[in-house]
Amino acid sequence: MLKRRNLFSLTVWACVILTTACSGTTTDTAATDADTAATGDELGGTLRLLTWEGYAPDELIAKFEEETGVDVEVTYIADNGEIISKLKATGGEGYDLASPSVDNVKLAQEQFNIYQPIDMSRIENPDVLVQSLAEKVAEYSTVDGEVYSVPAVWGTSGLIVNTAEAPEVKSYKDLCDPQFAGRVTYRSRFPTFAGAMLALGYDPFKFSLEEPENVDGWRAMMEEAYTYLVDCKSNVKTYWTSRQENIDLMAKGETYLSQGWDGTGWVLSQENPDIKFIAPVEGALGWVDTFTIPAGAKNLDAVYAFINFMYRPENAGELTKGGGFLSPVKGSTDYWPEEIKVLVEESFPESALNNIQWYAPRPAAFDEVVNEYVEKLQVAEAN
Amino acid sequence: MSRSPIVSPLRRVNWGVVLTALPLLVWIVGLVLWPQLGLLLQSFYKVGGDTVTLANYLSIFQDSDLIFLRVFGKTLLYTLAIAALTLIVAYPMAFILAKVLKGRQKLVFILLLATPFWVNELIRVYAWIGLLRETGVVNYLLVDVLRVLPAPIEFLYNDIAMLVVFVYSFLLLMLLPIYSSLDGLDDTLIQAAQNLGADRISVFRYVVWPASLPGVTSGLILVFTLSFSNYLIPTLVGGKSSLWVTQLIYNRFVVATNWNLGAAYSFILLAIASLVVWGLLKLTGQSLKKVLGS
Repeated sequence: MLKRRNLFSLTVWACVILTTACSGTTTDTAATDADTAATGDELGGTLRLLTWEGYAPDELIAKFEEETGVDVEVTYIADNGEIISKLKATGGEGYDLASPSVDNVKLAQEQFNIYQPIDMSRIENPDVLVQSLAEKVAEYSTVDGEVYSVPAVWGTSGLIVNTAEAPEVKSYKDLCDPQFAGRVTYRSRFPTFAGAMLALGYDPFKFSLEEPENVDGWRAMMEEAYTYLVDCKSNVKTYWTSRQENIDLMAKGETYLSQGWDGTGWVLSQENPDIKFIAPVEGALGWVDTFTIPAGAKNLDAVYAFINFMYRPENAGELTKGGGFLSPVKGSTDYWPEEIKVLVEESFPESALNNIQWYAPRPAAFDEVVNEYVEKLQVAEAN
Repeated sequence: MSRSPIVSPLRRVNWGVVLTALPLLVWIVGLVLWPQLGLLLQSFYKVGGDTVTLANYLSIFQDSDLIFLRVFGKTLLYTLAIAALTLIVAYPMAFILAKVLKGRQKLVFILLLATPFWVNELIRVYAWIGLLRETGVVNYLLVDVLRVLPAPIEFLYNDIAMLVVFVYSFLLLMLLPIYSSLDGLDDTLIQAAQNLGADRISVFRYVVWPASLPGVTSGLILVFTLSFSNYLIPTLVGGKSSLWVTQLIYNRFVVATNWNLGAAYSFILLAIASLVVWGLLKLTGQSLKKVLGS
């Protein structure tokens, strides 16, 4: 009897702990109204999005569902690798539309063949896009002459600064200024290395475009950035791993300075006006997340309907309201609330906008070197 | 009523048992063994390669700065420490629960211990973050209420904080099996030992400890294997230098999309964990059968 109970309680507790430890991904089915599918020209069916938190605000999804009669299911990811892993596991099945960063698309497509080309003729009004962005995305996502992505959301990473504690900050180098010892946070990921490389006078993006074969040259640059970041490690309170952790550390005043996303900075500014997002003198790091269609997408009509829906300025403007994400759609700024407009303009004067350093696709061999140094940095002891 | 010689062998199969066992079988084969086998196969190929190779396994001796071996060694060492610490904390509690408290008190004690564990692990870890962080509850008490510290200290983001949260998280897994073993120990045995002149230490050494050993062993095994394979706690609570071996595996699968190498790492983890479990069983003189309570 006793032993039975023993086994039982063990099993129960093992299950409790294992299951809670294993629940990772959140799948959120947006509220759907059964009554909406009524009129004749509606599409219907389901649209399964694989995207980042904040890219599919509830209000927008509800509006889209009402217009089209399509049920939208949203699955959130927190890392580009997650998109690739999920689609790789199923051979591109399971989702209708994904939002990988543009610098990831080409390599993933070449290695795993998980996407399908965009049919440009189905984009109703491509002129609505900021052309420089659209061209860059097309250029970076072209595989065998076919374009695989169109822009969805863009933003930058730069410096989030508590100006009350750190008034003079303007460069990535300030992250390693000893006067901020223990008051700095950033990720142990490529953006931090990219910032360090820029601070050291290198241009990692130009390098990976112009010398994609030069792995040794890349390694030498990474090594130098690594040494620099190890020296800087005593300044770091912790490497943040989620947007929310970055927000908590800055909002509670535990750190004064962080390398993070512009949207994070603007969210913080609205709570505490002393906190600002600053584009560093070396240039903010610009990323573009895309609409890219998985190879096994089922409901292509709904996919293009959704892209066209998101390319309407009044809808695109909504993206910025909640999470501070920027849209590639011209005229979307007309729909921004005034306070966001002020914050964005303050962070990005004309000169800073022109100085954005855009992420470029990296060869697989470069990424291997990056992963190696990212881990080395996490193991290294602070000096 | 003699048995017919031509009865079909199928008749002798107890279909009731087979049907009941079917879900378990499907579970074990389809959801545990099959995917594991797939990963095991993958671990013998390079990414995109089609020749069988040990390169993924050998790479742990070749990667720069021996990152895998260093992180792996550290994780192993820490996990053993976590198991030992949890034992030290849980044992007296289990003893009190089994031998000192009676009836209702026991129930209240168990409820108090178990209630926090009805909450998701993630939320419990966030609660610890709220306690330990620089602007957290502990610092508030020490600095503003008790005034024993002049300025707040960062308790979070270091290895000690990580160990504390680990011990807390796995306490019940150690406590319950030990409690079960001790509960099964007849009190009259302890009294007999005392009557025969044994002092407290001898009673513990020769009566209580041997009786609790199956529980201790199963507790150690549970805590060891679960903290070895934990990802959450080192990621959220650990500091800027607390890389855990599971994070390396996550990086292989998700960040680097190198499932083949990730699979190899996972099987090294599995092999070493099995070895340690085997060692623990040998060390405590227990058999797996006994420890699992059959």
